[in-house]
Amino acid sequence: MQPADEILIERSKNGDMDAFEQLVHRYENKVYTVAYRFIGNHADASDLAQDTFLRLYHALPSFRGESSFMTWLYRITANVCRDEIRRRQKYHFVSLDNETENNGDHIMSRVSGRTPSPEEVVEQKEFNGMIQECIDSLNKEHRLILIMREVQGFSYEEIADILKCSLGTVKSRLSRARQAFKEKFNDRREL
Amino acid sequence: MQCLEVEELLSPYLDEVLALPESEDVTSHLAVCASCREKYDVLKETVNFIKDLPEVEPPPGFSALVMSKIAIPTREKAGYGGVFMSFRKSGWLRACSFAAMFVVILGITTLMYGMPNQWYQRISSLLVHEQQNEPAPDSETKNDGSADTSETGPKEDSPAHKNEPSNAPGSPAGLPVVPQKMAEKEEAIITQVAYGNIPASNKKLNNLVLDATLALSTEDPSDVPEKIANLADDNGGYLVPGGSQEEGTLTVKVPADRFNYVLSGIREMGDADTRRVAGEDVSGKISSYESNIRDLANEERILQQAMGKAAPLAESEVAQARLNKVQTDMEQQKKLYSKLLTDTQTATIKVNLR
Repeated sequence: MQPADEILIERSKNGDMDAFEQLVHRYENKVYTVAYRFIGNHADASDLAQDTFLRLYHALPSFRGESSFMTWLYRITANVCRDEIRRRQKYHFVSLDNETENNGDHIMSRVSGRTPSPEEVVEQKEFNGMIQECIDSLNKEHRLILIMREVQGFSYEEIADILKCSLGTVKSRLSRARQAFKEKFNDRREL
Repeated sequence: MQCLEVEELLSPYLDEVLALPESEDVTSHLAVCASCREKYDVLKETVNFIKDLPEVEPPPGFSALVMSKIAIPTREKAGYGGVFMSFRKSGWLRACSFAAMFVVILGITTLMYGMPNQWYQRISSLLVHEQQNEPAPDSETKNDGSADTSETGPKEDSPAHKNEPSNAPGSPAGLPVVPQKMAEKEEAIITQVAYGNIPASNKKLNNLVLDATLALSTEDPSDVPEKIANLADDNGGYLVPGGSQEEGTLTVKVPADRFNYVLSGIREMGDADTRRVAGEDVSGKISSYESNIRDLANEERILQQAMGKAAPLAESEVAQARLNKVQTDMEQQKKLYSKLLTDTQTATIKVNLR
């Protein structure tokens, strides 16, 4: 039986690196997924996810358990992504590894009941790649708020708190982001 | 409620965050407006496309990479320290900090030496003053009268110039010569570095000794040692021979730059439980060894020069004994130094097989 998060957190706070690595193992998929969905390529996603866990390591002593660990870690992830936006805006950064990498490695496990045919796997992979391309083509603010809401599942209040804006701004920005995503999706589907 | 108003509210309506009256209004409108109903359905569908995207797995060895990075930046932070770290954070901060430091230094220098156009004369006079007041290198010998030739030998080669005026014969009038003591010191340092066989700078070296310990559970542990040996070999490393394979512990040595890769490869061989990933900063130890070797090399040089001069037999024997001791110590320090440098270039991975 795996030790609970609280136990691993306490052990990590006391310098137990093995416990911290177990936490990394436990949440690496979640964090990496958010990073990948945000940045759209594996090289940069790996950097963002690593940065998230490094920040987690240094911030862990301040974790008091007022929210769930998952929520807290997701907040750090969102902050890392938000900082990346600021950094790229500041330096007008253009990624050399900007192409979207289709990801359909997990289709088998997602489809319940039966194993999809190879054709279905390819189709689903292409479809997921198109969705990621639509996300990538959004501006960074829209991309971030969309991922915070749809992938990370933050509430409007939590998004407002993390992005340091009002609830009204969250509502309107998320609405515009969804609309922009819908238009990108329709454009691509018509191609 | 009009269609345009409803469209604006579809997104918060989808998330059920609208206040009750507004929410009821939208519900009523959608019940009677096919166009808005379709827009709502499309919005819901496209949003679900994002929600349904699969999780993405990080590359193999991701957590090991994170753990190794945790060890390294912590050491770097400890090494550089607070104010120097802050210089690295921001270009503006750095620029302002250096500008402030320059102003402070300029102010202090002006207070001490007057206005900048007076500095050259002031410094020149100070240099002359220093040379004229500096005690002769053999003055202590003269004072205590012991006349230890083995120690004064090298200094007797150039006793007179210590009290020479700053304008040495042949030097342009008005320009101070470099103080002889400084020149000797520089020459000694160059000689020591060459003689002591110390790299001129170790800044480019990675002064971390990396090591990891992990427990590895596999269905068939019998072929794991061979797999690990092959992995190590492919990456320029080796399985340490004579290890306690019977007890289920293997030790692998690999180049430090292949540490993460090999560690990831071993983890993929079974169900791995990492016990330790660490990087010990040995910069202090390296500096200490370098300093010791330089000091010993300097003492050796002085002793050898002294022994080349005519001296009473008893004193030569004393010097020879001391020289032997210095050379033994230096060899020992060089071995330790060499081992430490090797350790920084070679990472160790211990695997407990289960």
